[in-house]
Amino acid sequence: MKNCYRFKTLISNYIDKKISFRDRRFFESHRKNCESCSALFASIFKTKVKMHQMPQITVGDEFMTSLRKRILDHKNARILSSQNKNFSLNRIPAFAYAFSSVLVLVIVGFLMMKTSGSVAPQSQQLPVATQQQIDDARQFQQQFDATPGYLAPEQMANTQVDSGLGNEDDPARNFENNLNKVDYQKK
Amino acid sequence: MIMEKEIKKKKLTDEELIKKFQNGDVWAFEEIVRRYRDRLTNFVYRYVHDRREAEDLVQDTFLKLYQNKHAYKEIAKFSTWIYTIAANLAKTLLRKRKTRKLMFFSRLGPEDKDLDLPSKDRTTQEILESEHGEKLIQQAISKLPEHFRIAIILRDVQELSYEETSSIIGKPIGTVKSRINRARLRLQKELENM
Repeated sequence: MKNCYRFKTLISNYIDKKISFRDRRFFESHRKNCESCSALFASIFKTKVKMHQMPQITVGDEFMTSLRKRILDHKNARILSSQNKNFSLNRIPAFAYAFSSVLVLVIVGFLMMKTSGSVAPQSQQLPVATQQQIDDARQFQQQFDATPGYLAPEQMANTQVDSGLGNEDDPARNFENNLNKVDYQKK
Repeated sequence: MIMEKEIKKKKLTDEELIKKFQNGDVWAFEEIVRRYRDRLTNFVYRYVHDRREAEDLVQDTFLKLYQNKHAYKEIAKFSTWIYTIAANLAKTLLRKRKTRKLMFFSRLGPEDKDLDLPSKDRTTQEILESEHGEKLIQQAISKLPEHFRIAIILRDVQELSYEETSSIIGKPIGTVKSRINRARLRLQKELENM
């Protein structure tokens, strides 16, 4: 029984002559001893031969004519469709679709954020703490300006220039004053 | 002059012809059609068991070749490539047919109708030798599962090598060998049951 199974697996290899020497020896000896396997091999071999001898179908000349017609029809259909498609969504490349959809998403997202208040409008007032700090700084500046003996930077510059100009005898001092004036103007 | 051209064309290999066709030579295409139309029709007919459908399908194969001539690269044999196209189209047709069968429940092929089955007390060899032998084999082939059917047709009807069969089916040679062996055993069983 085991030998019959092995025999069956080797039938094709034997028919196609793709069998090893050892398998071939087993195959042939089993074929001599087992009647049913021998009959099976004979009928498979006969069927194989018969299959190759089955009448061949030949196609007539109309096959070529019909094929030529189909090719021509196909060509015409392509030309026609290309003429009809002056504008077609198919012509728009994929990246254009992608870009426009991203753009729409960004705009919609921005609008949604704006309505929910996440995006601060430019005209909005400063926070209270910051405003307080600015006010304090201004107040301090005013107090400082009002202090006696303090000269504002503009007044200081005028004073220095005036005093420098009035002392023409001292060229070193004059030069220093002029330098200060230039520095201040630069600032 | 025309005769010389014809003789020259007949000497060219399939691969040379397809190269010529890829370069725009329509006559090369016609030569390819002439070489393969019968072979492919036989193959497809044995597979789908309907002559008209087989012819249509082979025309579709050539139309596909015409449209996609540049898809062929010279890494495979041309015959294997064109057989693969035909086999794929035939598989699609059988799939469609199955759906149709489900819809209309039963449908006999044109070849099934006028066949008188021989009496059952005859041996397989007698059946094969009878006038109905070829028709019975064809019927038995049609009863095989698709993966067995295509393998046995390519190997035993078309007499292609195991390597070519393997490339067309897209399975390793070992699988193809095993399928062919099992298909031959199964075919024998089908013939005995007839």
